[in-house]
Amino acid sequence: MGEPSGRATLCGLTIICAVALLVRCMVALHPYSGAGISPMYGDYEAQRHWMELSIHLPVTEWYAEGKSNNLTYWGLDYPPLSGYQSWLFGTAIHALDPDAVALHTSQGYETQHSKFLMRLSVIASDLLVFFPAVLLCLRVFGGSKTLQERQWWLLMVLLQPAAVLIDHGHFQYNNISLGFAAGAAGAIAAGHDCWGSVLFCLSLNHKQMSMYYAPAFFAHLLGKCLQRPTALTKVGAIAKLGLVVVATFALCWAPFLSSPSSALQVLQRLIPVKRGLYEDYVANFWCVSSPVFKWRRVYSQQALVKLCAGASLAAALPSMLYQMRAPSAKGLLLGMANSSLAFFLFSYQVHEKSILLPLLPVSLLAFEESVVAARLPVWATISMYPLLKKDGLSIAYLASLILWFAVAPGIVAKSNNTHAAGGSSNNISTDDVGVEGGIQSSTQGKLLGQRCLHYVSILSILPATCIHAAQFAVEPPARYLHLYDAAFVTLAFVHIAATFVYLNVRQHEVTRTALANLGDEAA
Amino acid sequence: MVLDWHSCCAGILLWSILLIQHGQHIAGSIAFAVLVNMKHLYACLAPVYVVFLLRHYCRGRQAVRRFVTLAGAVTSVCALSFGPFILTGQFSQILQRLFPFGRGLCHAYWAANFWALYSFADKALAMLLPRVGFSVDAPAAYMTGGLVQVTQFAVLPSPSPSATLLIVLLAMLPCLFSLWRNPKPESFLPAVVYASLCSFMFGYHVHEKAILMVTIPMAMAAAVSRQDARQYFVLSTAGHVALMPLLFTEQEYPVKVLLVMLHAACSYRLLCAAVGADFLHTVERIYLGGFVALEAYCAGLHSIAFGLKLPFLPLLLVSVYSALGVMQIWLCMASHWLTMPSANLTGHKKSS
Repeated sequence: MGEPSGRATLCGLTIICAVALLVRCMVALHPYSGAGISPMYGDYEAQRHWMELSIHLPVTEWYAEGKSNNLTYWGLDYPPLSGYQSWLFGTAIHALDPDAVALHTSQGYETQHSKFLMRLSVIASDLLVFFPAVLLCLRVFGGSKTLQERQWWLLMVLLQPAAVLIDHGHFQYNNISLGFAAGAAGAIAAGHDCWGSVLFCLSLNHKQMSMYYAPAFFAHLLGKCLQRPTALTKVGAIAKLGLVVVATFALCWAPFLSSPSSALQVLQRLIPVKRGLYEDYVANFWCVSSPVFKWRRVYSQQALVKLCAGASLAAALPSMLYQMRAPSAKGLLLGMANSSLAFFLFSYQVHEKSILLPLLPVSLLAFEESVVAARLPVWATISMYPLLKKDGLSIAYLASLILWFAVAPGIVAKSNNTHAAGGSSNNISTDDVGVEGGIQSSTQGKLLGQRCLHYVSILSILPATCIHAAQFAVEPPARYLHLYDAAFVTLAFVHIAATFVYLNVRQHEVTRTALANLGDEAA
Repeated sequence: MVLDWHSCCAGILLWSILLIQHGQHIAGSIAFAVLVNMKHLYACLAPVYVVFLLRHYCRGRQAVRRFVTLAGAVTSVCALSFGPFILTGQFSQILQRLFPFGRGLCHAYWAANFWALYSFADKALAMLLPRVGFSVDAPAAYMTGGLVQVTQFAVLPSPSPSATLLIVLLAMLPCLFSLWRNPKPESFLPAVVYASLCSFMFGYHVHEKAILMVTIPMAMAAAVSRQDARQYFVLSTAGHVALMPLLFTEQEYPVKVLLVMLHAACSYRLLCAAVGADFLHTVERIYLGGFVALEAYCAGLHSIAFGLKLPFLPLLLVSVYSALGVMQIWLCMASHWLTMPSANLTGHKKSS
């Protein structure tokens, strides 16, 4: 079967991007977070308020308490790049609807027209940052795949329900930081380490949440530097990357570097030490185990912070070590997934929206880990159901999941076919070619792991449906008002934890294969 | 957003057609009876069903028994549906609600059918004739005022509801005649499509949504031949663009544009794969390309050129331009049915 023409490929990929755009426009018709709920409203009002602040106040006053900037009413708590993005969109909205971002008077400003403009800004950032980054990753990770497989992959990455619902429903700009992170992964996998570092720094400077990926990038790049032949080239490579990182940070933080106090001010807003172990219900270890062991009562806040830091680093350590010993493109994605999962499960003050971070590398891995890529988004979306229900996004939630169930089996079927046809030919070109025995056992282990994940998720669809149905029919008892929320996150936690274990095992296998290959080359 | 139960009815229609095509005549008739009792709009397909079932199913030695079974099934469905209202004496009320002829020939927004072209011609004549010396009595903004009411045409004769019914039946005659002579199951779907297109073209107070009654069954057989693919693609694109003014809010704009464009792009690719590339004539390509210019005008150029004046003009242009495409497809289909009997005179078999 001949490869389809370039024109057919372009046509197919454009149609898929248009479908993804259509789904986003349709989700955007639904309500946003905090709609009509005065006095504080929600994330939508926060973003609008930041646009108002950034276009009317000078840069140095963005993070400072002042008469125009009341930090208790949605003070800016993301790094400077978010501020610049707010300024950019704020300028555009000011030109089209000045009342929406007028200083002081526009608090709680909610009209159909301003909602349309705000939604457009999220869609624009998707088109400008996220889509191009994903297409770059498709090129890098899917170079040797058939057109059909690439189309399914693109569909899966772009239609991922959790990301679409949070960015275009709840209202956030995660697509920018996730897009930069994806671009970084693609650039590094293609060998452009410096550009990758720049992109990751941009992602970090947009939302500090991207710190969850930092161990993976650090370990991978360090591993690559250490693979250089001589000590001098090793040090040189590390120094070059260090310089690039420092330069990017300096550029982003330039307005705040005039005095240490202004930089400190920003840092204080970024690190939420004053808040609790977790807020609301989130599918991580601390929240799910709290009915059994009351962490907040037993330990002080300082002790909890140290405990969380220790646990997260310990959980992320194996994947870091694997990457440092034998860095590879697939290992980078697995590392990103594992470190973000480790931090999601064990870190301090984790939001339920942080599940978007592991979801990105898992989606990018859809060629190889199709079962995980098809299942994890479902459980991630279910874990966010309490939040979505509060926003009035239940219908969008249901429709996105149904759409996902229609799309996701496609890639599972495709990759199963190619496995059955004798897997080694389709293994990713960016991975090192492995020894026969290594491939054999890793493929078998992988199939077994996939089968386990498959049955676990099939078996839990019934409880998930029952909990949804029960929620409509039965009122929770007065003592356990949040019974359903707890049930959703517990169910999701089981899957997220199982996925974490499985991906660590996969990373171990990938590293072993890469090491065996390196051993071969050395011999 | 417009809310209606069209998907449900379209589904039942498809079921009914499938059942009849596969020989399950009683089940198909019951499905059709349910459909008509849900939306009486579909009663326009009744002649096709009656002719086909009479000639194809009720024949041979079993003819009378089959006819009685069929009639009984259909009557019982109607009795179940209307029974309670007949017993409580509200039947005439229902008839008045079902057939509201006080609504005027055209809806507030014109459907892309023959009467849109007719109304446009009337308006054009009303504007031109005074300049050549005739006097015309035309109130301002008649028929384009956005109101749902009966209006008299200024120059051309105003058709009454019964006149439109007659025209619809006349238009359907070639198809009914051909079906009577040659009731093959393969002709059933094309006949249903043609009958619904006739009622869309010439019916009284047709809503532009009714084009979906034509395009959905048509899609089932669009990939059969190049001719079918061409007709489906032109009709569905024209029909969908004609529907776009129904969604008029700002936030629905990207959704409707993307939906129509994606549907056109996907169906074009799929039809090319099924029947071969370039199944459209050049004229049709130019016509379809014109929709892009039309949309650009409606979305932006009109307000630049006229500001808030002449608000109905973009809608009128969309209706008339789409109606041209729909009319052309109807003429194609009508000529096909007219010429069909001469091709199939000797193919007819008696079914037992």
